[in-house]
Amino acid sequence: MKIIARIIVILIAALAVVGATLALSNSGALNGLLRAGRFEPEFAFTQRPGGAPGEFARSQGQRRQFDRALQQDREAGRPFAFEGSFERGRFGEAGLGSFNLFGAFELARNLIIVLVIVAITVAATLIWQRLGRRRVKDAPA
Amino acid sequence: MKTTRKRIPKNLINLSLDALIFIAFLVATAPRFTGIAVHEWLSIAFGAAIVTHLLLHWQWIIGVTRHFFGQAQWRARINYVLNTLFFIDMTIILFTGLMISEAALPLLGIRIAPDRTWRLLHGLASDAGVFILALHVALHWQWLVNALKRHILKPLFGARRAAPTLAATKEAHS
Ligand code: HEM
Repeated sequence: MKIIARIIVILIAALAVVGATLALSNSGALNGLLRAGRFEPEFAFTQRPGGAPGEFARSQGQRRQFDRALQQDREAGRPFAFEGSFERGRFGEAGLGSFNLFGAFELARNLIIVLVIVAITVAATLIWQRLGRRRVKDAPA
Repeated sequence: MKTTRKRIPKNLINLSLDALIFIAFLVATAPRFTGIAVHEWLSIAFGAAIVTHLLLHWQWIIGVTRHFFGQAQWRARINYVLNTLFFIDMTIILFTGLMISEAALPLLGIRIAPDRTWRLLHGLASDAGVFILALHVALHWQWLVNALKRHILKPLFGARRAAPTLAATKEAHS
């Protein structure tokens, strides 16, 4: 009984986070935030023909074709699959890829990132603690 | 006759679960490594493991929540803030993952219109998660080293080292 109550508390906390995320998304704040970030070029420009500043503008027809494809995919509930977009090929034709070597590289990269951060933080904490102990030792009684 | 069942030490349970969570998270951050279906199912299981992890540390959560503004140590406070961020981040990763699901939810007959915002947020929250996970491990480094020594290294190598000592003692006695 106690465990069920605790699980419910955890789920309520998670729901609160989901609610806040949905509220941010519906208010448009999330979109703005993401657009302002490093994802903008991938998000808007390379996806939409002629969308990138400084890029040669593509024809209106091409843009319309893009928008139509996006609309159709949305209506059909399919993942967006405009030819040439990065979406395809990301995880293979159907989007459901299997093992791939780049993935192993990604995994190794993340492991190294974690190890480096752990090493730096642990070293910094140890130095901090040692300095603190020395300060206490050196302090006049 | 009374049989005495040996209880598994709590720290060993924690250590095993934490190791599993750590590996599962790292694997989940590389969906190209596993393919998307494994990525999704593994991550859903990961969600359940996180809930278990929280249940195992329930006393700590309650204790620090009560005393956060009172007599809690600074270390515990920093840990608490980081863990809260971690929880929020994990929830966002799992929620956005479900919103862009291509294998798990469609298999259950649930289809959600794809939305680029969720996709971007999913990747962004996952990147942030790698950093928070690293800090989380770093802050528990001492516990981790002690638990590894006690439950893994000592039973494995301590026994081997202890064996000659035992033999030497026997020789000395004979
Ligand atoms: C620990 C939890 C998880 C982590 C760390 C994680 C991490 C990631 C990462 C790093 C990517 C690649 C993003 C990119 O390339 O921009 C990704 C993609 C994806 N994830 Fe997750 N994920 C998690 C949970 C889930 C869950 C629970 C689901 C669904 C049930 C899911 C579904 C997907 C899908 C469908 C993609 C492909 C998105 C795309 O095409 O860009 N993920 N995930």
